[in-house]
Amino acid sequence: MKAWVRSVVIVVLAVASAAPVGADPLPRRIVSVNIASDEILVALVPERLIAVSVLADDPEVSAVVREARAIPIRVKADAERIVDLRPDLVVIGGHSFHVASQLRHLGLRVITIEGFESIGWIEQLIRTLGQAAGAQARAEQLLADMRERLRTVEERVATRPRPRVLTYAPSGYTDGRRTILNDVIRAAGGDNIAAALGIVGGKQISLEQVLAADPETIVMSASSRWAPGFHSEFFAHPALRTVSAVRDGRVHLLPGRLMITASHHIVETVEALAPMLHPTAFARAVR
Amino acid sequence: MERALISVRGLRMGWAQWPVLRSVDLEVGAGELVGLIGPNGAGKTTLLRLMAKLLAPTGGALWLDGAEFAALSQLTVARVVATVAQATPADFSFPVRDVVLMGRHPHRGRFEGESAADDAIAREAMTLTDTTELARRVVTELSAGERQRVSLARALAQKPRLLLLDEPTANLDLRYQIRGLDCVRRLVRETGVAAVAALHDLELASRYCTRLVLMDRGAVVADGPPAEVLTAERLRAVYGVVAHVAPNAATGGLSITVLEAFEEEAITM
Amino acid sequence: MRRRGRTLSVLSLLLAASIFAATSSGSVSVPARAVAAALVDRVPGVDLEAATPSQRAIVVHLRLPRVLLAAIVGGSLALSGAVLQGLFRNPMADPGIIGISSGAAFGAVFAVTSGLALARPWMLPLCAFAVATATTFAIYRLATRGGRTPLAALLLAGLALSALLSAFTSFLLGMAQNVLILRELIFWLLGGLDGRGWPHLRLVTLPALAGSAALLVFARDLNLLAASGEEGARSLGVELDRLKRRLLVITALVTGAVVSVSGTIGFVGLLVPHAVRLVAGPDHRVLLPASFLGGASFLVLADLLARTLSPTEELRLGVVTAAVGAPFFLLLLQRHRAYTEAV
Repeated sequence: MKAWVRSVVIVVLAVASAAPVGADPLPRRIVSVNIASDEILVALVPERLIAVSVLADDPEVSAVVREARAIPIRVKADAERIVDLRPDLVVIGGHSFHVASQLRHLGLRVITIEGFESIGWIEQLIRTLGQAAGAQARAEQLLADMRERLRTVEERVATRPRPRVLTYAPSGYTDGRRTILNDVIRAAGGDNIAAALGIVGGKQISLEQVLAADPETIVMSASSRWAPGFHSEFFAHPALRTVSAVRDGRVHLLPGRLMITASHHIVETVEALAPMLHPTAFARAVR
Repeated sequence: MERALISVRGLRMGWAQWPVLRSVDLEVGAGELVGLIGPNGAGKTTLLRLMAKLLAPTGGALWLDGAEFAALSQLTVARVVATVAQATPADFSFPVRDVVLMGRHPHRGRFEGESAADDAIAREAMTLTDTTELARRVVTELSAGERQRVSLARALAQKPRLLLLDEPTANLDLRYQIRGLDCVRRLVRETGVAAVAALHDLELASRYCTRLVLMDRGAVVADGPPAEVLTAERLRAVYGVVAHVAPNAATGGLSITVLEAFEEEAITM
Repeated sequence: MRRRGRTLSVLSLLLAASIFAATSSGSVSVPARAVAAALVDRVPGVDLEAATPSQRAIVVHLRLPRVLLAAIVGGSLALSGAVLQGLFRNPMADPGIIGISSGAAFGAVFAVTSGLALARPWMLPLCAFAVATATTFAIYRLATRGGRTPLAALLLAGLALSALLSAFTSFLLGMAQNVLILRELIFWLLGGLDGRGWPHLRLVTLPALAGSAALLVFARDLNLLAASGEEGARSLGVELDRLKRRLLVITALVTGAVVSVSGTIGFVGLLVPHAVRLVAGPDHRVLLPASFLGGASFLVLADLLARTLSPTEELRLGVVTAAVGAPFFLLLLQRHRAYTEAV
């Protein structure tokens, strides 16, 4: 079964287990406790979204800092706070399963987000949230817009040879198959080395493997908050200096919020990466 | 002859390389105060522990009141036999009164509390052992001698028919040595309790005990009245000393004066 | 006797007050009247209007089960600690000594990293409980020869097996690739009651309370053991090896049950019996029930601190108990040194 289809099943099951069968009344007090759903819901139903996660205001993590200003309340995975807001729909990350199950026990409608596997998964998430929030039309519009922009990039890079790309993060974490960044690399006209090496998910890669693979391009997050000194250590490392990407000056930093986003804003990531991989194809700006 | 309260046949303890007891036969009846004497390592403590069912023998058997030890539960034995050990631990600060009351444990059901009768028995035991004024004090604050007397009080509170004492005079002042043995002797004479006491002081043993059992290297070498057991030859063979033994009119026991001690080789002849 | 009753009454009141205080506090402020109303509403037939539905949900479904769970876990751990301290005649003993903590930790980490817990969430407490109790049985078996179980052998077997299990646990943790899973596991190892509700309480209450009640029955035997040593207790009729076996089994079941739900929480089993002994003396007929009540109050209040001390992050329960426990031990050490130097 295709990976994204499986993740669809996960998301749908989460919804089905929480939502009452039959005609759903339109939720008027939606609470989002996860940055991915923050970004999506603030685009779909800002008028009925009463709370977003505390991360929404952080420019290194959130792509919707400006839009989030219109949402009055900030919330984290705290069952009491959430219950106190009297929500009729709660969207929360799968890793907060304790809080999610407590809220479900209290009869609240809860959607848990799990998977984060691909751009197709993101599209399914947008569709699911659109349906749950009663904003299907807007969701379809958002998806159409996404596809249009992705197609534009694809046209420009379609015939070009694909450079070999590696993402690299503190502690040597990279993104292999079944990750969103894997799809981003593909869509931007690159070839993900981690996937070629058979890595699945976000796993560690040894320096030896990096040297052996000799990537042409390395992509890292510009954000250094959680590992200060990571960038300087990386560039100072004597072994890494021999890697093609480092030697030829093709180590690119993308804003943190673009590296971790799991909403329709992923398009911006693709649009930012593609010119880095194919500078001549984007001599004129995309938009 | 009355049936013995406790009898021991062919009792063995230890292994081939290290025998602690080698085929001991012994019988003790009601109203007897038996002194267990012998040098260190003779097996006195081991014999007492076997008689209290604190150890299981490697050979031979014991009978308590006609019943085989092996078939008796620890509780059944505890209702009849009380032990005063050589050293009593005091890690937790229990009040003396509570410790003496613990002697009543074998006679109480699991869910029974302390009765007035138990209280009275404990008080009586403390009177007999001169420990009444210690009642409210805490065992961790007592001297070794005081703890020894409390141990005896607890054993008496058990109302045993057989009392086993391991070096009961070891830590005591002269005064309490005499009073303690007086108490035991009175108990034996007045209530018919049987008592076996391991003693290192031969003169005290001869004075208080009607019968002495002399042990040497795991075997019983003599068993009888003090005058018959404690002869100069026996003292030479077992203790390796030249001693003068004479009856002591003042105490009713024997007076033993050690004149000379042999070197190691002389003893093994 | 009278003093025993007084001590237990005071501790019971303390527990009731702690439970009410903890149920009244949380990240959302609910006025005391509403708390009382929400609690009383549980009684059929009574219906006070003072609490809104969300307040009722918060108090009754979110806070109350967690507080009650803290009471049961704290009480069970403290009682087990008191029993083991009496059994081993060692004031440093606590439930970890019989391998419960290391066993439960390994079981939990295994359940999560092997994916068992992902498929079925109840696998985590089940594995924790199973390995914890299996560890105690293994320690018992290793230390028993010819029907006798010397305490020194139990201690050594406990140390060895705990070290082995810790090594395996660290190995599994090191292999874990998913950062979020790692975080969950570390949180479990540091102990916590976040997200625990009525289902967890239902799982744990019967074994913990039944086992604790069974332990209370052995108070007299523990007194004998503590006051007279092993041989002294035997000479007073205690079947020592049977007693050790029973106490080990029951303590393992009780502690295993609560640790499987709360994660490994240190210091409760160690320091509460000490504190109670200082106040109420070494008599186990008071010490055991008082330890249960004291431990219950202690953990309820520690959990309250964990929830409310910091506005942004919930503190780990094991961290709170250690933070309180360590200074207390230093204080005890000071007193003990002063005493021994003066004597």
